[in-house]
Amino acid sequence: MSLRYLAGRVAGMAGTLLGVAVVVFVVLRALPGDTITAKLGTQAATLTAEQRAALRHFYGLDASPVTQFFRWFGGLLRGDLGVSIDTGVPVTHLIGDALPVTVELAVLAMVIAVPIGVLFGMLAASRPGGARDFSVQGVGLLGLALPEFVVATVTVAWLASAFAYSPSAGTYVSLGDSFSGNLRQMLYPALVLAVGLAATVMRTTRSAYLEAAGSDFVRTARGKGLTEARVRFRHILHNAGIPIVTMVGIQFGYLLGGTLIVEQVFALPGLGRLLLDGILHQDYAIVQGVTLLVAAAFVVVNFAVDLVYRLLDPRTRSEGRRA
Amino acid sequence: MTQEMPPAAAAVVPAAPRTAGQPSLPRRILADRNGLIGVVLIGALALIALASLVHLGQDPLAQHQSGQLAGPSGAHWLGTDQFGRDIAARVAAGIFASLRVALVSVALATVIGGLLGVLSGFAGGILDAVVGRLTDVLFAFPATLLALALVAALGHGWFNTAVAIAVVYTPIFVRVARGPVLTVRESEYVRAGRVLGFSRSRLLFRHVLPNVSAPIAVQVALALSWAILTEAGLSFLGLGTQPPNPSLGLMVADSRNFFPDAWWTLLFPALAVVVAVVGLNLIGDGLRNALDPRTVRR
Repeated sequence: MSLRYLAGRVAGMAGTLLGVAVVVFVVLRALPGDTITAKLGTQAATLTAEQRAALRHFYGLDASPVTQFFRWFGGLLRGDLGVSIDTGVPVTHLIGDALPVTVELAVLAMVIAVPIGVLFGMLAASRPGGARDFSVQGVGLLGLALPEFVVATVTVAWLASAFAYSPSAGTYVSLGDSFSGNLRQMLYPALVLAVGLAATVMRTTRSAYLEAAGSDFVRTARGKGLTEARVRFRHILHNAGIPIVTMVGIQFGYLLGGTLIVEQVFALPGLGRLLLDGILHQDYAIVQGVTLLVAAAFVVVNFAVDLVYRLLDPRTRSEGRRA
Repeated sequence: MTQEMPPAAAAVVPAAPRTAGQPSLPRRILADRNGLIGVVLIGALALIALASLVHLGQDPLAQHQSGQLAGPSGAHWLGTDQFGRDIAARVAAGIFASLRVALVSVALATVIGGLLGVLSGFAGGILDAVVGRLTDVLFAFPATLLALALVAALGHGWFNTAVAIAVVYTPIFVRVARGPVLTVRESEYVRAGRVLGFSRSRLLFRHVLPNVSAPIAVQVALALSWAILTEAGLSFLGLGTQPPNPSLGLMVADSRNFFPDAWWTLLFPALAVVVAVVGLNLIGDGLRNALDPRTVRR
């Protein structure tokens, strides 16, 4: 991978992130009500013109939008995401508390979904068009079509009625507090997330496996008299790995912004729930901070996936130079 | 421009000009097993939605004091909810609401995204660079997150929800349309048209657009299914359709407290979403097979 290529990609990524910041700023300025009405609620109506002007000055709302943007953006670069109007806590603290929950949830869901998806994708592809392929594909389509909120709702209701266990009641136990207690809380939401994820991984694996299975080197491997297991794992799966890794990486990026419904149903204090609370309480700073963070993480994860892709596939690496 | 393509781009199929003697597109979709099942499922849902539109059956908002959370019966085919409202009527109205948001959002995304993609691919230069950057920025947001933030900014209401979903899916259509244009632009028939002195708009609309419509058509079916899921998800979170108006996502959210005893409060709205999503995906598969002569049944 040439240094020039890397520099170009990093510059492109920086440009995208700047664009993200502009979009977030513009969209959130369009939110109904301003900081003052959000802070004071109906009391805002009783303010005199002078009081309102003083407050607008205090919150920096009297400056031009461009000035406001650069003030805000400057703060961002210094790691200042603002303060939650609702609680007075810095947004970076709130995110610091919420991020580990979401990341753990995403990692756990991946750990569950990827082996299942790869295994069933291989199973389906081993005899394409057969009964096994048909049933695995049918289950996969169902896994994609079943909305997360339905699976989550059914899981919570089922746990409550069958085991008198209510995952959404009680307080959150962090990994540091109790490993087993935390795992018990996180397992079911992770399983819910894993349903759609496993289906996606399965479909990618199936088509990548079929693609690789049809290539010449597989025929050669079989011709050499290698065992079927060796052909399948060493030759086919190894080569099908690149699209699978890419898909898993992209899905991980999506998960960081896509655990919202599950966090809400299972009452987990992750990023999604923080964002939703921010929206419901018109807490600009929180919504801005979380949206920015997730989008930035998404961009960085995609960049990393692209790099891994290039490392895994020697054909995309050279461009006449050695990495 | 970043080089990776969104997962949606996996749906891209090569442009396949129709040749003489081939059956028409609807026939070819119906000849495909998946396509046929998909058309039947979506057709059934569309009929149910239409029935609710002309107020066939019960009023979805009418509360029957006597029969709250009553199971399916002759009077209420799919049972009643916690306020004694007829679930069949509410599911039908919910399907209508879902389809309305999905159709409007995808129509907006297809027209705007498709046009921007075709134009930027065909014209190249500054336009292509600007559109490309904008697309990159919008792609930087996970879909749910962007839809959520936009709904929060635009406010409730079905049209605002549709606009939010449209903004999320527009960049996908830009990329899906732009890719094949780059190839078609250099094809011999377009070059021949240039030599013959055809106007740009004639080249674009008569020669380029028909030949890039195949991948766009497949994408429309897939985007419709995501739009239905997104709308239902937003409603579930309380940010889409507002009560007492019926919405499939909201019905599932409400059923939480009554499931599994009153299973019908959850099963039927959930089933409607699943049928819609499966049906649209199958139509997408059917379209892909019908449009790509090289598709081998795998």
